[in-house]
Amino acid sequence: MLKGTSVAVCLIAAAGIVVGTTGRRVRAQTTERRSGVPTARRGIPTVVGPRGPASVYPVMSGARALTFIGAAQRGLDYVPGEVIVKFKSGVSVTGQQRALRALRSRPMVTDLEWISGDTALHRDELEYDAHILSTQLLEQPEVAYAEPNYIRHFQSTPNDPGYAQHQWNFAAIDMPRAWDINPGGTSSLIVAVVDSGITTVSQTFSALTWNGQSTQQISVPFAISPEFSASRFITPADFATGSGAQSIVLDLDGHGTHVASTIGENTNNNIGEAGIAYNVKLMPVKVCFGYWDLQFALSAAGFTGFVPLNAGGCTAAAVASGIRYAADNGAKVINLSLGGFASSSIEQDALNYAVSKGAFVAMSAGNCYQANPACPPMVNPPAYPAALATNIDGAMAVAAVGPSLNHSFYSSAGPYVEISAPGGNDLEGGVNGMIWQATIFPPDSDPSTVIFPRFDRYAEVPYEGTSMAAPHVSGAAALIISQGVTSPAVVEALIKQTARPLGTASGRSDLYGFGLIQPRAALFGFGIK
Amino acid sequence: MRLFFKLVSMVVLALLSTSVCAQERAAVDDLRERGSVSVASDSVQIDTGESLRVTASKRLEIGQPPRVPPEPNALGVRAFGTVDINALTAQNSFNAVLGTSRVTAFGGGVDVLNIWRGLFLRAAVSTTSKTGSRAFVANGQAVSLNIPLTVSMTPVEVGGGWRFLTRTRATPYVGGGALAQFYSEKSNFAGPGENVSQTNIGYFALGGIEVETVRWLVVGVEAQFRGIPHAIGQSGVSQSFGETNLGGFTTRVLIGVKH
Repeated sequence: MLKGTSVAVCLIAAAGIVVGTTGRRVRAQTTERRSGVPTARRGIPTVVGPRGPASVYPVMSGARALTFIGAAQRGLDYVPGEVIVKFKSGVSVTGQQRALRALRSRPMVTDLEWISGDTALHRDELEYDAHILSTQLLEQPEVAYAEPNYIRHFQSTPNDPGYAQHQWNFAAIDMPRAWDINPGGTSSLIVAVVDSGITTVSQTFSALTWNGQSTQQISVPFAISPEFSASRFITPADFATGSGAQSIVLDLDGHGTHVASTIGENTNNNIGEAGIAYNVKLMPVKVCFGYWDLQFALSAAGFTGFVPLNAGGCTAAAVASGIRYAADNGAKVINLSLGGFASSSIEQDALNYAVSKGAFVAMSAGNCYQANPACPPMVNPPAYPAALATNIDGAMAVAAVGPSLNHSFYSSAGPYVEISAPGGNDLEGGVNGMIWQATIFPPDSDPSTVIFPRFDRYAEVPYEGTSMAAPHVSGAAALIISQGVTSPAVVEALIKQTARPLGTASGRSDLYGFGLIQPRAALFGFGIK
Repeated sequence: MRLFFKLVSMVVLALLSTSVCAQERAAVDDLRERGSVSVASDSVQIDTGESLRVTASKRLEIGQPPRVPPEPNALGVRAFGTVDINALTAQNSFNAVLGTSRVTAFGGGVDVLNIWRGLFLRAAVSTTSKTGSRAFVANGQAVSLNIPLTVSMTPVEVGGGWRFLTRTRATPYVGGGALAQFYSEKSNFAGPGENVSQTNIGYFALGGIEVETVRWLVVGVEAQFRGIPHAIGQSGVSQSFGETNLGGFTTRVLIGVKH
């Protein structure tokens, strides 16, 4: 399920050819064939038994992948059968076990997947409705909170072809003068991109996938973006398909790479575009899985058929684990370009934890200002975890503006919006009004047209969404912290105070928060007068 | 009670004798030069017929050069250099940027003395400059942004006052006046219009004491209170702290010549 109107356009510069795709959702509803290969009727894949050697990637189990597909097909915003439970402090194992007896499946404490401290994930095999599970647990005196394992989604998507490269977004926030003060941040600073990952190795993996008629073993090449170097990656982790720290992380979607490129793709290298904090270390923390993560997992587990195009997302448990991991491993800025529509206590705990560890968090405010098939029936609902930022000094909810610096048509509004940044608006000049950054070449892996993907080619691609706005704030925060500000609360206060008011002469508004971020003004600070 | 009054009288007499002694000494010196004075162990006899009982005559130093007593109504000039320690009213703002709210200034000035009795006029200027760092204030706490910022202040004082002429070497005085302060802030990376350069108008009140060391050399200490309201506070860290006054309390050491 992808939100908002977004565009992915790739320029093959050498040939001068414009290649692109239309929105995934539209294509998913109209396309029955891919690349001339007949496909099976879409639906939950059927089991045909294990096939071929296991691929090196992915790690996710087929059963779990199937669970996500089921959630996507039913339009659920949580993982069926999964509930997050936090026991009250000091409750013994016996007490925890007593609380778990409230569930029909009567799980053992030892069967729980512990996330942090007293918080654990339970996968129930008898009850798929996670709301029922959480309600049953909430009634137990030993339980502090229990909630479904919500699924978050990226808050941007690729869209139509374009033809030019423009970074109006950096001029709009006065980046050239900000770089005069602090050119790209310090290399000791770590920015965590909690997203679909950033590919950290150039390597070819074998994987099993469905070719429309049978499961086939294929070679899937990956490469590090030419806008990054391996030395800029630090302590990667995968909570989407793995269980934490990994030697490698692979981005099979492109969203995480695009976000990371805004934060800090290599600059002044005569390649592509610029990034804001182009000297900082990047921590790829994969908490979201995309179409190909699921497809490879299912095929490896022996299931046949294609995965629904709208399958994928990021569970609240994975997001929370990723946030905690980033904070524990030295990240001073955490970018969260994802969201959903239900508040999650485990995410709130993780955000509070990260800020207490000295990490500033930027979150996308959501893309459902207007009615959208990817949004709930209600218009402009609050987006989580961004809506939690209001009560956390050191975490900010970021709305989007277009080239005219007016509110982007999709950008969710509300009292929780704290700041605005360029997120693109294709209604203002088409693709030229979007955010162009390096990411994997979309035609190589677009599931609506490709059955044998590759992830080793990159292009400058325009996206739009509050997903694109948040990394502007993360990049600016990285520069501010590089300048010597260490407190996340101070970073937030500085960003707010130096923002350019939009919509109102001064103060904040629900559309723009405190206004458009001005990194240069924040870095320059104040004199006496 | 009688003993108390006696003690007080003795203290007063002692002070008066010190004062009279200096004046008499000068007169005696003058006469002695003309060979018309004889010094006994406890008195001075003058052959012009005047006879002064000098109770403290034993303290006379015969070799001291003659001193011309000042004429109270003669117009005089005092030129001086100054070293000021300024304790600024906008403590929080200056602490945030400069790391201190006390700055040292150097300057000089001139007093025109005895315009009418003890009345004097003053014109003086001092200047100070200190480099700190641009900052941001969050929840009342200042955070440095490590961008060098140099603050310069040059107040020009114009005023006057009253000198309390005494028969001692020490002359207390009080006064006040207006001041124009040239104020500037210069930062690295500043764009057009981002540096500050302005003139602020304020006032000052002063009190001090001057001591003659030798005939023409004077030293003194002075305290000033300066008020420069509404000079800051519209932006910058001073706005965050709600501080608007660029004045403060100044302790001044001056050394100069008097004619």
